[in-house]
Amino acid sequence: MSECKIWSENEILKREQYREIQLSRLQETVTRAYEHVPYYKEKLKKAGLEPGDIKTLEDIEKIPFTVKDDFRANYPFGLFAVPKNQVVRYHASSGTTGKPTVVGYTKNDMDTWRELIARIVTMAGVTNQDTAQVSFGYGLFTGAFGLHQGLETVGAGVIPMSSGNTQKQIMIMKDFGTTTLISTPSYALHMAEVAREMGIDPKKDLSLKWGLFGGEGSTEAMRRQLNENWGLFATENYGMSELMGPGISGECLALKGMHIAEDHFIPEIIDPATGKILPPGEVGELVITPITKEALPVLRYRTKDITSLHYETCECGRTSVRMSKIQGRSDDMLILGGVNVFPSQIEEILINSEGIGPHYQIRVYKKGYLDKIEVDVELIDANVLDSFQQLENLTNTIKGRLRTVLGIDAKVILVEPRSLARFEGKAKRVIDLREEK
Amino acid sequence: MLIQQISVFLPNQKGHLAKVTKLLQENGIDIRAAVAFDTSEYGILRIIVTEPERALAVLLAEGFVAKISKIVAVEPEDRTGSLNELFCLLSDNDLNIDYTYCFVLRKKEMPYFAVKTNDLEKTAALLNGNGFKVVNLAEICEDKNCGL
Repeated sequence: MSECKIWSENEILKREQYREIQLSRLQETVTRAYEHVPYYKEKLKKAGLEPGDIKTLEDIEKIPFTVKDDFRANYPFGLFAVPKNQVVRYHASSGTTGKPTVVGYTKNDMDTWRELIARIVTMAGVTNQDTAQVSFGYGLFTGAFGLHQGLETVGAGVIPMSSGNTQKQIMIMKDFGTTTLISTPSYALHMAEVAREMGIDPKKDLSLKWGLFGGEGSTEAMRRQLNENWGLFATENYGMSELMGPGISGECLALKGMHIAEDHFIPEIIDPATGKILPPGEVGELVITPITKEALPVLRYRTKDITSLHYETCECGRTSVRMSKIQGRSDDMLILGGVNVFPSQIEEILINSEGIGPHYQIRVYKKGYLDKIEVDVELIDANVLDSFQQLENLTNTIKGRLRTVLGIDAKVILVEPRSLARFEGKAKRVIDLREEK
Repeated sequence: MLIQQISVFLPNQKGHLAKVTKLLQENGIDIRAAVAFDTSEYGILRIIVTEPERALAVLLAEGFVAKISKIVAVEPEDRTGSLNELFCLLSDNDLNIDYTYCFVLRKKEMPYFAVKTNDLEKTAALLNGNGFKVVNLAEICEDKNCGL
């Protein structure tokens, strides 16, 4: 790992200092929400809670969760804690169904946002020597403006390229000497292909050093491809508009998870089924409470993202907690005989199993009181056709590996190649038949 | 002397076998012997065809999971105990049978026996040396172009 610069002293506080800051800021945030947002006042009252009841950091557990539907129910400005004359910026998420989620920022919120992005781009290697091309779409989406402002704060030269027009992207990249690429990982992979079609070898003909990717999940395999295709060092960062936008967490050069800005956010991991807080290191749904936001205080927001938290000091010197790569969405979680299972866990096993393809279909049903699961996978290796023994060995191997995450035996059904559904967008690979009837 | 046989993976779905046979017909490939073994979820179809290499290419191009494997085909004599002699001979010589099936050609009086063992070369040589008639693909294809 090359030397990893640290932007702010607030990234290397002692645990006790973080806890102190978090408690006082949590108390302020709960008070602000209670006093200025009628929706929260009612919600807290219903839970039998007054701002004064938050006496320790552990009292956060008493606060009811906020979910995306709370934003929808209060469209557009119902959750704002300040009058409109104090709002200097609006953003909104792309609502795939119904109304978008609207967020607002005061002047101080904008300063916080710049500061947090400055931390993230610094930990990802960017300095004032760099030229950064922002290839996120500019607009209501928080990604482009968020990164843009923080990159300026560290003194990098920002090219507000926006997304699309890929050939021009490559031309600018070459002519301006872009060293830093900001985009979604999938768009970056697409851009590398287009560059090669144009006769440009991104590794040799361009000067990319750093790639900061976000806006969608990615895998380690994608990271390798990004590094190889561009000859850059890829990091991932995380955020969502409801909580601020990008800037919540990002990877440092040690690549040991994404550092959360703990002086501005309190992270928790809960069991998505019961809502109970899980101990550090355990995998569950990420819940985040921003504790410095003025325009839009949000209490215990359920991100639906599945990850785990790690508190050990990082190789880079930062003491702030790290969240691991997002493993999936809690919406997709299955509960099988009391065990929580994410399709991504099943997917990982199947991808690493020989003889079968990467596509699958899962069916969950009940037999009597017992949960049963069937997994269809595509057979691709004809070499097992010599005997049923070999076919059986293949399914038994997969079954055994699946058992380690499922806790129960799955029925593994081999089907022909290309016979399972392909998905271009969000894959629907799980059919849960238990809820019918 | 070994015969190229094609094994095709068959999910237990209505009409799946017909997909294979239709494809082969469209490509002018003649099925000389066919047998399907199945479990509750899937089956393996084993066929002896004219032009096995081309038949495999055609099947793979259509997305079937298929491979060529070899078998030994013999023509036993028509008398009580001849099959027993065959299997005893293999067993006494430490040859293990993975599977076996018999198939009939109209112009022949006797059915053939296809045997897949753990050592096919040894099996063929052994049977040949002990008075069993081991047949090749050209004989099975009779007057048809066997592609060899």
